[in-house]
Amino acid sequence: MACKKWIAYASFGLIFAAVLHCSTVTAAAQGSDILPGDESDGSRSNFVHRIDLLDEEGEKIYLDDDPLLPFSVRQTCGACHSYDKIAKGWHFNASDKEITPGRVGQAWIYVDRPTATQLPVSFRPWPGTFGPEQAGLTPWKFAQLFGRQMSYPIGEKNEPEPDFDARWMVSGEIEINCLACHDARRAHNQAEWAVQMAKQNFRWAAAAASGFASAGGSAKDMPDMYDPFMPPVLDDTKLIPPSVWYDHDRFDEKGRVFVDIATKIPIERCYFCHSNKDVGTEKWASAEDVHLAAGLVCVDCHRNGLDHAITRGYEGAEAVSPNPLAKVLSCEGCHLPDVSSSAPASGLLGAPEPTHAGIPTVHFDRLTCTACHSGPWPKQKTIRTKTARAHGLGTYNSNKSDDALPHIVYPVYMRGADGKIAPHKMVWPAFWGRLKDGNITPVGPEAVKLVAGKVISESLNGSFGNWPSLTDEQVVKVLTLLSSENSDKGRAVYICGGKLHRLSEAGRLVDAEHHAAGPFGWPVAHDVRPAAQSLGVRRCEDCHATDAPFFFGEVEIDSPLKSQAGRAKMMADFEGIDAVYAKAFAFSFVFRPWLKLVTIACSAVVAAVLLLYALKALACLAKVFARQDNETNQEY
Amino acid sequence: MISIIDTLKKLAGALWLICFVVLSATGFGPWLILQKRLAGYWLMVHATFAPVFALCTAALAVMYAQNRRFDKSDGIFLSRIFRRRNPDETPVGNGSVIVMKVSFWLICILALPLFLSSVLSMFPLFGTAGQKFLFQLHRYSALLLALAAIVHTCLVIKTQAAK
Repeated sequence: MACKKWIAYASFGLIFAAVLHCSTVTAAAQGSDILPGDESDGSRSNFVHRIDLLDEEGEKIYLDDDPLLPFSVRQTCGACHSYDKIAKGWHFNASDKEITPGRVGQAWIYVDRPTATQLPVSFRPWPGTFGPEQAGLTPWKFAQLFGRQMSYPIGEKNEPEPDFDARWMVSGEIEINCLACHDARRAHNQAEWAVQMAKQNFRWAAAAASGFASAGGSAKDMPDMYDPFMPPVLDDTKLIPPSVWYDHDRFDEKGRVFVDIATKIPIERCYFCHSNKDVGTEKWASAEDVHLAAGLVCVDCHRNGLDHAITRGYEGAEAVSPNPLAKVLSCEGCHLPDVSSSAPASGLLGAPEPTHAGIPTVHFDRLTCTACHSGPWPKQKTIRTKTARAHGLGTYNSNKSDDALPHIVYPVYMRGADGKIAPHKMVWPAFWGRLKDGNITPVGPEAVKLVAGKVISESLNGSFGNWPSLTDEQVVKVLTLLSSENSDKGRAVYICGGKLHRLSEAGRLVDAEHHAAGPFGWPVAHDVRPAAQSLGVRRCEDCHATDAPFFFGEVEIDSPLKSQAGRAKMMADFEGIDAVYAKAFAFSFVFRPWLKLVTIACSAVVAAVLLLYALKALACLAKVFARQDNETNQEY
Repeated sequence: MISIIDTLKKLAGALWLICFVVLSATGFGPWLILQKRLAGYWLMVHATFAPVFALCTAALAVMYAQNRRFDKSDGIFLSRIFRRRNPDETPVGNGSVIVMKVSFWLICILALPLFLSSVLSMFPLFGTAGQKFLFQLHRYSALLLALAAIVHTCLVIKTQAAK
C-alpha cells in the first residue's frame, strides 16, 4: 500500500518536473527570439562592431581556411540581429504579397534596346506596372537584371515553379546586404557589388563590396554542377572560379574584424540607389536637396526600428506603415503645427514653420507640399532625368549618354491616388504584347528576338543607348511575324508613345487607346528646393499665367516610332483639369490687378461715406449735449 | 440733370441687384446644392461680378447716404416705441423706413469686411491662419449682407409699390 503511495508521489513528481521543464524550455525559446542586438540600451554612443565573420553555414571564417569562403551577411549580422524581422522592412519586402504597397514608388524599368522595350516592372502591385512574372522575368533573370542596386533578398524560394535555367547553387542566393547601408567606411564599394552581380557571384558580392575583402573569378563561367564548397579542378585553365581574399590587417588576434557600423547612415550610401541626374546638367553644378544642404542626412527623416519599416515621408503613410513616426516624419509633421496634438510636435530637427503668406488655403487641399517645393522649377517642356536604379548610376560602365534608355521625363504634375497634384517622374511604356479579352500580356524581349530579331536589328543605329529608330513598316513586319506564332494567346500588339498599335484587317498599322499604354508615373519627393525658389513665391502667375508650365507645359511623349517623334501632351491633361478652364482661369489673372484696384477703391469710397455720416452723427450728438448744457445753464 | 441722376440711381440699383443675385447664387449655390466650396467656373463667374458689385455698392452708398440718414423723426419714432404710448397720440414716422435705413447702413458697414477680406487675401500679407480667418470673414459678412440686402430690397419694392 505504502509502495503504491510512493509510486503515485513519484509519478506526480515526474509529471510536475516534465511540465516545469517544458515551460522552462518554452520560455527560453521565447526569450531567444530577441537577440542581443535587437534592443538598444539607449546609449547614444556608437556600438563598436568587432565581430566574427561567419560563412553561409554559420561557421566562423579563419584566414587559413581552405577553401576560404565569403562571409554571409545573414549569418554574420544575424548572430546578434534578427534577420527575419529585418527582412520584413520596406527595402526588403517587395516580393511579400502580404505587404500593402502604399503610395506608388519607382518601379524597376526593364529595358531592352534591340526590341525597343521599356517596361515598368515591380513586385509591388502598383498601377501601371507589370509583375516580373507577367514580364517573363524569373527570379533568376530578375536578380541578374536588377541585382546591381536591388536591396531585397532573392533566391530559389522566390520561384513559383522550378526554373531550370537558375544556378543558385553555383552563384549563391542574394541576401540582404546590411553593409550596403550600415558600413560607414568610405572604402565600402557598392559598385563592386554590381560587378559581382554581373558575374553571378551573388555569394561573394557582399564581401567584395565590403572594403576588407575582395573577390575574383566568375560563377557565370562555371559549369552548372560547380560546387564552390568543394571546388573541382577545372579542365579549362582560363576559367577562374569565384574566390575571396581578406585583408589580413583587419583581423585581430582572435580572428575578429572591426566593421565600422553606423546607424546614422551616410548619405553616400543612400545615394548609390537614390541618385538623380538631370540630362544636360553636371553634378557639380546641381544643387542638393535643401535639407541635406542644411546638414541633415536622409535617415534623420527616413527612420526605422529593428523592423526596418522605414518612414517614407509622404502624407497619409501612417495608414499603411507600422512605423509610429510615419505621420510625424513628413513635410507637415516637421513643418506645420499639429493643432490636434496635446504637445507641440512641429519644428522637428529645427524645421521652420512656413507662413505661406498670400497663398489661398485651397492650395493645401489640392496640392502636395512637393508640388511647389520639390523637383526642378518647371519649364515649358519637361526634361529628361536619369536615376540610379533605372540607369545604374554609380556602377562601373554605366552608360553616361544623355540619350540612354530608359527615358524618364519630369517634372510632370499629375494627380495622385490621394487626389492631390504632385510632381512625378514618368516613363512611357514600350513593349510588344498580346491583346486578349481587353488585357495585354507583354511578350518578353527574348521571345521577340527569336521571332523578329532580324527585322528590328536593322534599325539599331544612332546614338549609343537610345531607342532604335523604328518605322511603321518594321512594326508591321514584327506584328505580322508575332501574329503567325501563338495566335491563340491573343492578338499581337505593340505599345509605345501612349498608344496601342495593331494590324488592321487590311494589314496596316492602326493605333488605339488602351489603359496599358498609359504612362507610369511616380511622385517626386526630392530634391526639395529652398523656400525662396518655391512655386508662387514671386506671384500667382508662377502657375496661373496663360503660358505657365504648371498647367500648359509640354510633357514629352517618348516613343521609338519615327512617326511619333516630337509629340507632346499638355500638363493639364495629367492634372485632371480641363484645359479650356485652366486657360480661362489663368486669363482671369490678367485682370487680377484691376480687380484689386477697383475693390480697394470701392472699399475706400464706402469707408469714406461711413466715416462722413459717422462724423455727422457725432456732430449731432455733440449738438444735443451742447443744447442740454445751454438749457442747464439757463436754468441756473 | 435730375432725371439723369435718377436714371443713374436706377441703373446702379438694377445692376447691383443683378450682381447680388449672381454673387449669392455662385457664392452660396455650390455649398447649398453641391456641398462643395466655391471653385471652378462658379468661382470665375463670382470673381467677374464681384468688382461690378463693389462699384455699384460704392456708387449707391454715395447716392443714397443722404436719403438714408437718420433724422429727428426717426429719433422720435424710436423713442415712442420704447415708452408707453398715449392712445390719443398721432403716430410719427414709419417703421419700415427705419428698417430700410438700418438695412442700408448695415449693407454699407458689411460691405467693407466683405470687400477687404477678399482683396487682402490676394496680397502676401496673411499666412495660413490669416487666410482662413479672411475666408470665414468673407463668408459670414456675405451672409449677413445678403440678409440685409434682402430686407432692404423688399422694403424698397414695397415702398415703390405703395407710391
